[in-house]
Amino acid sequence: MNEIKAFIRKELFHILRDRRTLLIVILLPIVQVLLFGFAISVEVQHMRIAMVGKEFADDQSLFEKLAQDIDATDACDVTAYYTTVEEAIDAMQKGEIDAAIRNGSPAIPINPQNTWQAAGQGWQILTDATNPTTGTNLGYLLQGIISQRMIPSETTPHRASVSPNSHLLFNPQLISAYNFVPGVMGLVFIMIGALVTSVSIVREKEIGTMELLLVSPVKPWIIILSKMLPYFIICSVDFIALLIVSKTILHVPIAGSLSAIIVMSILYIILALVIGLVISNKTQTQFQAMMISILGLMLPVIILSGLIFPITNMPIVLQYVTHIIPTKWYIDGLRKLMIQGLGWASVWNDIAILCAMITFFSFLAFKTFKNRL
Amino acid sequence: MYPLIVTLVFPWATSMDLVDCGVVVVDHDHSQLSSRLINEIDALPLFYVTSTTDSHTIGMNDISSHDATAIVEIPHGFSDSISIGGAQVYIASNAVDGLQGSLAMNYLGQVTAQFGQEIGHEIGMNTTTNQSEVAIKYLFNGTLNYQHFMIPGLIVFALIALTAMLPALNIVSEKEKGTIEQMNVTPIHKYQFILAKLIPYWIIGLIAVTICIVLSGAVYGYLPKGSYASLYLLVFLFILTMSGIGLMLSNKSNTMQEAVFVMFFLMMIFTLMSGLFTPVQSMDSWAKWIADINPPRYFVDGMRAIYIKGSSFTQLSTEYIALTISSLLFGALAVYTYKKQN
Repeated sequence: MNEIKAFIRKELFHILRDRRTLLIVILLPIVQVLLFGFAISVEVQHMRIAMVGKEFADDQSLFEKLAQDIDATDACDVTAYYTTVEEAIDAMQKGEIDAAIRNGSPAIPINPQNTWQAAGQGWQILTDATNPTTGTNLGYLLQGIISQRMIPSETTPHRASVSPNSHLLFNPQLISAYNFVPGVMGLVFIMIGALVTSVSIVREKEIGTMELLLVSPVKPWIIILSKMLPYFIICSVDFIALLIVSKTILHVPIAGSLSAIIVMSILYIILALVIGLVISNKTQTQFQAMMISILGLMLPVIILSGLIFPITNMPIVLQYVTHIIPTKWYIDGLRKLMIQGLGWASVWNDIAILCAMITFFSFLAFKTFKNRL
Repeated sequence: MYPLIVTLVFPWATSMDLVDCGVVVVDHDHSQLSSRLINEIDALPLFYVTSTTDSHTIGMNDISSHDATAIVEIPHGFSDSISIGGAQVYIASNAVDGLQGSLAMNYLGQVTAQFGQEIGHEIGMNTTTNQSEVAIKYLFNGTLNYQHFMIPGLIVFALIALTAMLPALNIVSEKEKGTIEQMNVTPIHKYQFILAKLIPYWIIGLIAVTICIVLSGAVYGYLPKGSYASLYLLVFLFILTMSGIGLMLSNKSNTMQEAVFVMFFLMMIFTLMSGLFTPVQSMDSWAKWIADINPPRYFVDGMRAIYIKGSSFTQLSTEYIALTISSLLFGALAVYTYKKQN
């Protein structure tokens, strides 16, 4: 017991004296959560719209009213008026506008097949679809605004219609933070657990003090445990800090079972630490450990874990690949718990898989640990 | 090796489109028309009906358990009320992923509204054509291919990793090995030394970019629309900037670990705030300010513009100016922070 305590104290000194490591383990998670919470967003916002061909419009006051409608919408601003479509396209290529709207302009038609019968009939929305998602979303949004303005008057005959009564569940204000924060937490823990832990262990190997420790009467598992425990404590502190930041500053709900959230996170942190251990067993230099952690772990986690890109969109082969990424299960469970407010029953399979992974990696760590260096 | 993975594997993973959206239908009407609506939804490539049920609760449970992303509820009396013009359909989608949820909801809304029009035509009611047709045309990426959007972005990512991380380690590793001492006692000028360090990374970066472009052309059939000359000029300026930052960091660090950690921290911020994964337009104003001074942001914008929009050199003047300024700035800083006497 005393040995463990002594080693943990030593490790804590190491960590606290190393400012750069502190940067990564404490500042980075907070910065990331703030960035993801406030800066990163996939919502359609601040869209710059250009109105084209006002001079040729059949009904200029209607044209102007439409422009005002668009400008009044939160997500859009009318930033320019052009005479021809070419000007609008040029502006898009320069990255100055996101969409253009035209009405019956005699300028060269974009699509020769798309002939309007008479000037003034019909509106055409041209969106910059470089980013297909914002392109389509903006298109629908503008279409909705125009259709609203063009609702037929009372004199038109009765029409058969179906009107949708649409709702968004769980996240009615479409706040991106809800989606990202569980993801960021998943990323942070695996980075700290795997990257920093593995580097710390390998550093001792590199400097040569590991040999000293191994030949001492202290059992190897005590050495390893004492390396992992301080980082476990750091991760737990981060976890609490992140939860508080998310709840208070970002207003991400913790709708579901808090105990389940805590248990899942503890399991995940342990898993990250064990993975770090495996990495440290297999590498000889800090550089190697860092490269494997960053390139081999961080990038796949960002892309394949469902953090930013939905897994359902990926080809089937890649979907199977995502099953081996621990972060995917953690994020999945955390989203169900935090955002959808579900309970233990919904996440039992995520928890079971995390446990299985812990067992697997622990076994691997045990097998690859070299007593004799 | 690394550029290979980035170009070949990751574009398949990255997609924000709505694909294979599961819809659970709660049908209270059980009429011919309601069945027809269900079949029409199912027939769309984008959606598939996971199950049809009578109970609202079962439907909502399916959403909670992620069996379905959206729910469509057809009320009793649906087919009768269509002709009166008052039929309503309840649509809800799982908006934890706000974008997916709203796309699903909007699209389903359109589908049901169009269904109403269709039926109207058939029973002879909606005979007057709507005066105000609204058509949407998608420019530059007409097929709405998300991979085409991501590939230039991923090339940027690979480039950041190579040309920022490696130089960052370069000088520090010499410091650790001790060979820097020998360099310091030679009469070589500081700027010559830094230049000599920069040039290999230019070459590596340019080769990596070429590999990525060739690969994406071969595998995806996807090549830049704009001119290769403007593309390579952009790349050149960007590599200069990144290597400058890396070398500057290297000059200031004493151990490799320090350099890597700080570089990693910066890389995260660079990539997240560059518009690579998420649009810069969507950021709040204070975040936009950070994006405005972030060199990779201009590179991402420029790359995508040349690749997808076919923008020319003159159209992208903002991006080129920004990158020229940053490359000169960081190059100068790299030279300035290099101290021969410690």
